[in-house]
Amino acid sequence: MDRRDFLAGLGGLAAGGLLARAAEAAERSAHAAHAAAPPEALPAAPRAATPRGRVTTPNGASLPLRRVGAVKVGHLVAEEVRHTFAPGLEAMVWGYNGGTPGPTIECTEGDRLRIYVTNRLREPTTVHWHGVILPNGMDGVSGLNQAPIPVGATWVYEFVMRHAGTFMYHSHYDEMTQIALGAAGMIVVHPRVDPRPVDRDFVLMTHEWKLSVGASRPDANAMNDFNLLTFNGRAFPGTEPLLMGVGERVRIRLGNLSPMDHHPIHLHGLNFRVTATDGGPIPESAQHPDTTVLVPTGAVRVIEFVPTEPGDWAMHCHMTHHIMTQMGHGLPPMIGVDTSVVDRRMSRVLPAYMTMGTTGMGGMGDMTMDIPPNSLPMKGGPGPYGTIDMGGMFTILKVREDVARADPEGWYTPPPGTLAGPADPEAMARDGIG
Amino acid sequence: MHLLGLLLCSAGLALGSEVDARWPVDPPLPGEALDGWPGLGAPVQGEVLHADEAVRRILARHPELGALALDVEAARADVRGAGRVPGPTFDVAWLPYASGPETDLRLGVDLTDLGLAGARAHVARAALTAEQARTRVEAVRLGFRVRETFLAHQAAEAQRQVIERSFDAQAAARDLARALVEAGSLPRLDLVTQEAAYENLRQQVAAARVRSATTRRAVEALLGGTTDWSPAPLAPLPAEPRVPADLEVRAEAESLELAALRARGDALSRGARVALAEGLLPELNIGLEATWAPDTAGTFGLGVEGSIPLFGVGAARQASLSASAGAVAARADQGALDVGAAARAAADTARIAHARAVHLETVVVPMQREVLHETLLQYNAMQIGAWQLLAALRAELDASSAAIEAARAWWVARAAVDALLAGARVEVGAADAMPASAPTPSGAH
Repeated sequence: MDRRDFLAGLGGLAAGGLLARAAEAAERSAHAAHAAAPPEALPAAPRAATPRGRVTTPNGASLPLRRVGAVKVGHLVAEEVRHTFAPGLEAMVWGYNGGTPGPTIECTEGDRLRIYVTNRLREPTTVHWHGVILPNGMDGVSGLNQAPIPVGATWVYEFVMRHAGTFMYHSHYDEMTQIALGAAGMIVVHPRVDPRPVDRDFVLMTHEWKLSVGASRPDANAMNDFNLLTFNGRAFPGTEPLLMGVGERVRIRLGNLSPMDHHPIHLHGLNFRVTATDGGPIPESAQHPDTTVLVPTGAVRVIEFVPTEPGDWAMHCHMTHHIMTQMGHGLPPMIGVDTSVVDRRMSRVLPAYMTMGTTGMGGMGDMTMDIPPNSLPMKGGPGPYGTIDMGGMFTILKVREDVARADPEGWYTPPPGTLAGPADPEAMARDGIG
Repeated sequence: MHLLGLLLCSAGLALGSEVDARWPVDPPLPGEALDGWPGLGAPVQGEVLHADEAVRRILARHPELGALALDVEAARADVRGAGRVPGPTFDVAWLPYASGPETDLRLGVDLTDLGLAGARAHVARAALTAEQARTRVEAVRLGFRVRETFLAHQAAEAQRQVIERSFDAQAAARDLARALVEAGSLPRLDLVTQEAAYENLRQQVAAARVRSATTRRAVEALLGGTTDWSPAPLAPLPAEPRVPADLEVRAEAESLELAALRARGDALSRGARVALAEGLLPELNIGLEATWAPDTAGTFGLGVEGSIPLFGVGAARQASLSASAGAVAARADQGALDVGAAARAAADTARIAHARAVHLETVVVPMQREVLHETLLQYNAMQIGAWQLLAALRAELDASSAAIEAARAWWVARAAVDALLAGARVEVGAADAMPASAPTPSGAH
């Protein structure tokens, strides 16, 4: 190394230090502004690119944190809430601060957090900080690390977030019941210096429920045959789309606190790399490209990508029953069955009867028969080319060229020549398609 | 005719009931279910006959009522005979004495008979009263049996229609199983399960048709062979059972059975007194006599004849009649207790039967309908299959069948109360219970 190289290296180090300090200052400023807000106020979801150091929780929000001295203080209220999974489907669940999942807890690596937990549930509860390395007495396992929080009481957890990453929090008392009813949420600990800053940072918690058709309270004892799958507590068409720009760096943090099922989350129109788990970042050399990431139950997977193709891209669990809301499994297989004799007789026996399923399940969501109230069996949502006949764990990535002016509710219009349509018979003949 | 009218009124019992109900059933199935089974053709249509009208027509021509009227006429003739003033008698005697024949002529009147005629008439009138009461009892019982027979057919026919709908529903379940197995969607177990249930139900349909046909034949015989009619549905249930709180008192007061017993006892007592008098009184005959004998001028004049019993000859008969009167009195005393007990039982039976029938009609059947409705909603939401839907339909039909039977039992119990108020205890012949429906097959979707 000669003197020029040495001086260049010194300058680089100085520049790096300046950048780090600028980033810290910006972060402190953002947190200060956040801490000044009333503890109960929920910040509005950003329409522009995710501010550096902030995440977007579709259909949700972050927990307001107030700075008291050197501590960031927040308040979680565990309570029973009336929750809307999608328009026309509501249920009484157990969540935090009026929703499920609870608000995303955001802080920075090294922050000391003081979280008050008020229990307004019908039974005791605790909060476990899933994946967080902290003093044993703060880990929240009832009976092992602490006594449970009595009904009506407010307890406090305090610890330092030593590691950056994506984690979760959930009840660890009567875990089967309370997690099944929605007592869960996400934690994002930003690094002091993000080695890979992104333009969009999203948090999605996956969950599954057993909500009988016509009922208004999930079955907390269900072990299988879950019929309602959600992103951030919502089932399509209730899921908020993820808006992003072509060429932007996007991060999606996926958590899974489903009682029993893993979820292979598939993204259309792009590929990504899994860059972290709740155990920490994955070295770049160990990252691999993929289009589907399996998120085991009790785990976090963070994916990052740069979308290059504009459009409305599906993102969903690839377990096919996880994208059907309240599908019943008590029917005999009707495909291919000739029901002409049955239909004639049933028209006399039960005039209101209608045979279903003989040609598949497509279109079932468009039918307008009487169904039990507060149910969305097999229902999908509107799309630009008809009904999107999916529900459950399904959302849309809206990738736009001019994202700043894009309507997050609007549909993508493909340029001419890029839309699949009926085949021209002459073209077919030319191509030798008989 | 007046007597016949009185008997008709007795037999008609509760003729004021409303009978304009319509039962919500579908038209009967064609003969598909029981093709080839003998004697079980399609039901007859024709004039719709309600219970009250049927009872009126039957009683108007029933020979038993005519026979009862003749029984009364016979007793009335006995009264006329017993109270008849004895007519004069004309005696002629020709006595061939050795000295020459003597001819006696006598025109006389039996004074003893004349004196006892009134008493004997009282005895006969008491016997007539007893006979009148007895025949009215029989008329009331006849009317009850006729009504009970018609109600049995009304219920049997309504239940036949219900079970045929249930059979239709099971046939749909069988058809669905066939279609699914033909498509390869289900194993054969599901098919044979549904077919077995179908064939089991075919037995019940046959039994229901037999019952409807049998009870119809009984009514046709009562109608004198008329076949061009069909029964109206059972009448709507009244809101209240309308059983008088003082039924026991009224039943005893109105009891024709007790009246007959007491009148019979009265007749026996009077007869005993007449027998005693007959045994003690001399036979007296007063009249005009004329006598011719040879060598005499002949005599003519008023004469009195008599015979005086040296020993009382009526004592045995009097004792017999007195004992019989005592026996009847004892039976009348027990009869009063029996009528009271029967009234209490009839009141309890009617109230409970009414409560059962109303509960089935207004609570159970509507609830089963709601079950069917909610099941249909779950089916529309694709949470359950068509078999569960058809099972819910059959459960609703089972409830309807039970409601029909309960309504029949109520109307029979009501008729028994009315019979008591008309003066007669009746024996309720329990209609054969309909067999339980075939169990809904399990093991299918």
